[in-house]
Amino acid sequence: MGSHKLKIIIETVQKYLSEFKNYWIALLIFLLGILFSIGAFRFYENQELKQTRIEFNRLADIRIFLIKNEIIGIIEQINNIKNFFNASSHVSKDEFNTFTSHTLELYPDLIFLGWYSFNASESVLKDNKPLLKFISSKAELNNIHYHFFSLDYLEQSHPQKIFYIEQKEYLQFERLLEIQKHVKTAAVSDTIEFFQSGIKKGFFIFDSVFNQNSPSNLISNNLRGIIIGLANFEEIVQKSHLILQPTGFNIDIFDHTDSKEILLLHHSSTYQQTISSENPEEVEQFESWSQSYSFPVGNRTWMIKISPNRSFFQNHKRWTHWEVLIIGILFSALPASYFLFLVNRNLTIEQIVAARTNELADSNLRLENEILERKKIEENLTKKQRYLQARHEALKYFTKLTISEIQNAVNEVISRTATVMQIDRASIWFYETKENIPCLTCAGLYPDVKPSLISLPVFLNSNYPLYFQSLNNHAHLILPSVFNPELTQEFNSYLQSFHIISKLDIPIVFEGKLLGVLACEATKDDREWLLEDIHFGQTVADIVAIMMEQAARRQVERALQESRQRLVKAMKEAQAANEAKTEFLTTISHELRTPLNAMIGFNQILLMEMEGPINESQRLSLKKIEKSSFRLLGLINDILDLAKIEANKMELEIHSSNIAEVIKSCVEEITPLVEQKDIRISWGIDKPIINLEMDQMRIRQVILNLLSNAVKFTEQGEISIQVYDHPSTVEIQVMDTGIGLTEEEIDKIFQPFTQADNSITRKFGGTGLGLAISKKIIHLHKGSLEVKSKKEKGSVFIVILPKSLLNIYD
Amino acid sequence: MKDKEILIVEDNEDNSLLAEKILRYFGFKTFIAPHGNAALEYCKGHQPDLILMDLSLPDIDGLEVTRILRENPQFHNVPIIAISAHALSSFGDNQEAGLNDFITKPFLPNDLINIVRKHL
Repeated sequence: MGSHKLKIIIETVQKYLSEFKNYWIALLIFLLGILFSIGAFRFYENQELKQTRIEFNRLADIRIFLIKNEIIGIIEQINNIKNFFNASSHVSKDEFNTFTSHTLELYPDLIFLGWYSFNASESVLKDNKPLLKFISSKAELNNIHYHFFSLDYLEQSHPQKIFYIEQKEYLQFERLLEIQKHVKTAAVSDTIEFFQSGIKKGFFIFDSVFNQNSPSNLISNNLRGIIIGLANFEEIVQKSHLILQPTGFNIDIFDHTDSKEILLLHHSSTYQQTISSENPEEVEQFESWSQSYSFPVGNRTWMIKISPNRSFFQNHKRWTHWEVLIIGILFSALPASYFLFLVNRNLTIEQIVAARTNELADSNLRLENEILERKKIEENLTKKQRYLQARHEALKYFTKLTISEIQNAVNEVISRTATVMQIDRASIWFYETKENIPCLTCAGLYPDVKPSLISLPVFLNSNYPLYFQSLNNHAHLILPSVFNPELTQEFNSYLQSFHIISKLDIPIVFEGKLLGVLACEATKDDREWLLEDIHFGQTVADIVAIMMEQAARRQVERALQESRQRLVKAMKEAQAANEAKTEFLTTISHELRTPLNAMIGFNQILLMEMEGPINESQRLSLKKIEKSSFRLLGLINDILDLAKIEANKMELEIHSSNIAEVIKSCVEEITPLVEQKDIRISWGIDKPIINLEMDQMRIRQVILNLLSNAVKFTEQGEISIQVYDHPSTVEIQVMDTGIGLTEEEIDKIFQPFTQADNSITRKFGGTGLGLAISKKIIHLHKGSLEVKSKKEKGSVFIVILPKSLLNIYD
Repeated sequence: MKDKEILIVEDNEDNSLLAEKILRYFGFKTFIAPHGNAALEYCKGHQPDLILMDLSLPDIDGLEVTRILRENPQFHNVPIIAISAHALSSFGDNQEAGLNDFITKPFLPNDLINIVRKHL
């Protein structure tokens, strides 16, 4: 991991180094800028320092001035007191007090002012003499007074703040005092320690006052007294504190009257806060800045020296140079960075361009390669395409063949196939079963051989069982077959005799039925049958299959067409015949009825005596004519009816009506005939109204026919007609106790012109048409007419009619 | 029923004569038109009270004659009875043509009289 990171770093660095040459100007600019900034910084620093120094000097000067003035002032004040004393021959305590209190107020740094008189007049009583106390601080605590010096007058600046002079100063005090006795000028002491709410430092001031009349220099005899004062150094210095900028000064007061020995009288430092001690360089610097001033103080020469300390610099910190530096750096950074940016951009652009160029070169190369490849593929494709095209066209051509003759089509197919597949021989064989033996008959061969094989059954199942088997499995056949050597064996002689090296056989199958085989052969060279060949062959085989089917279908169609035509012709003929029949019937009907009408009519006229009266024998004869003519009419009607029915010309007028009424009227009509014979007739019905859809007239005809038959064939007994109501049918039973029928006779009776037996006509008469007609009428009503009978016992004729003919006649 | 005139349109002489005899016996006046055109001609100048129309006529079909007659407002209400060889099926058509009723031949004199009386 670490080494990896290192590697990255090295790489990055290397990268940047390698590009360094691009960045050096930026770097240069930056460095220049930095340098400049530093220079400016330094410059400003210097300037500031100078300013500070100037400031310091100014302030120091002020302070010195103030301190000096203060000190001088103090001396002067004492001098003033001296003058005061000189001016007055006698100064009382009160006068002294008044005079000095003003001074003490003005100069709070004066601790006390006192008068040590040598004259008796200017002293107070002994006991009342104020005392200067010289004690050690320890002594004060123990309340031991040590040295006392009594003064004549003593005024303190702060009466409440009692002061004590350090005991150790007593000697110096006495000494100075002694000296002062002989000195005219003021004198100051060295540093005196005194105690006033803490140990303070100050100095004594002595000034002698002499008597006025002193002519000689013998001063000691003229000494009037000595003014003594004590000043506080610190307070003097304090007074010089400025409102602003009080701190940062080291103030020293030296006594350098003696050039050999400089005495430090007082040192005060004003610090903002406690800071660590200054290092020697600083001290040196501060020293170099110190301002000093010498001036005479009494009999000494003092020097005030003010030097800055760290606090001063802290207070006078200036930032301009830093600002300058920062700005300078920034400003130097700006163009550098801009330049960097430009360079970078250029670099990036260069990189991009390089990359692009590379890409282009690459893709160019690739393109060229692709083009080359494509050309190769195209060449391949064209070859393949041509091949495929040829096949495709062949197939299209095949599908377009309008085959009027299957033979032509076959020839076309194989010749084309041979060309397209580039084979030496192509043939189509039809699969047939001749005399129960499946065989293949050659339908076409290209190129043909002599003698022509066409239409000759060459392959028989018996000779080539394996082959036929595989054909029946609809499998493609490739010979010689390495997978099926037995098959190859089977074909050996055939292959040899026709010089076949490679063979591809595709069965022609239509909807699972084997129709034949398409055989492709190579006779010159070994041919490897590719998938495309097989596919093409298969397609051709399929097309041939369809063609064959189509040909077969067309044959069937033709046959159908012919039969249809014949049918149409037959129908037309039938129709014509039918029409002829109708016309015939109509004509016949008319022709037969017309004369009959005249016959019956005129007969009636005569019978009705419209031409005049007739006698009985005439009437009888006329009656006979009537009977016969009616019979003839009946016969004509029956024949015509039957003819109509046979010609399917009988039209029914179907209406819904009550069958009961029909039965009733039939019974009424037949009743006269019944009464003539020794038979009874009765009829019954389930419901008074049973409606059914029927041709009332025809049904009436049927019922009448049945009833008249019943009457005709019953000598004695009864006839009954019963109507039964069923949900969707009506059943009518006509029962008689007549001669009955055998089974054989039952079969015959419904046939026209056939009566039960030939003797009936002679005995009973009748045409034998009635039942045939009745049955037909009932059938037209989609009903049934049956008979049950026992010879000599009677018969029952059962008619069943559907109530509704709606859905039947739709 | 007296003085009612009946026009008989029938081509068969015997039949027309028969009808005439029967009708005259029962007191009707009759006129025989042996074919359609004759009937139409007759109707131009006369107004029979009933027409017996044989449907099978040599020239114009009986139905056609009926139709033509019906076009004439004068003959709207004249009963026309057809004489037919067979029961007229689809009598509705014939009714449309303008026939009021029909009688099949051969007919009995009573049948004829009844139907004539029915429509007069």
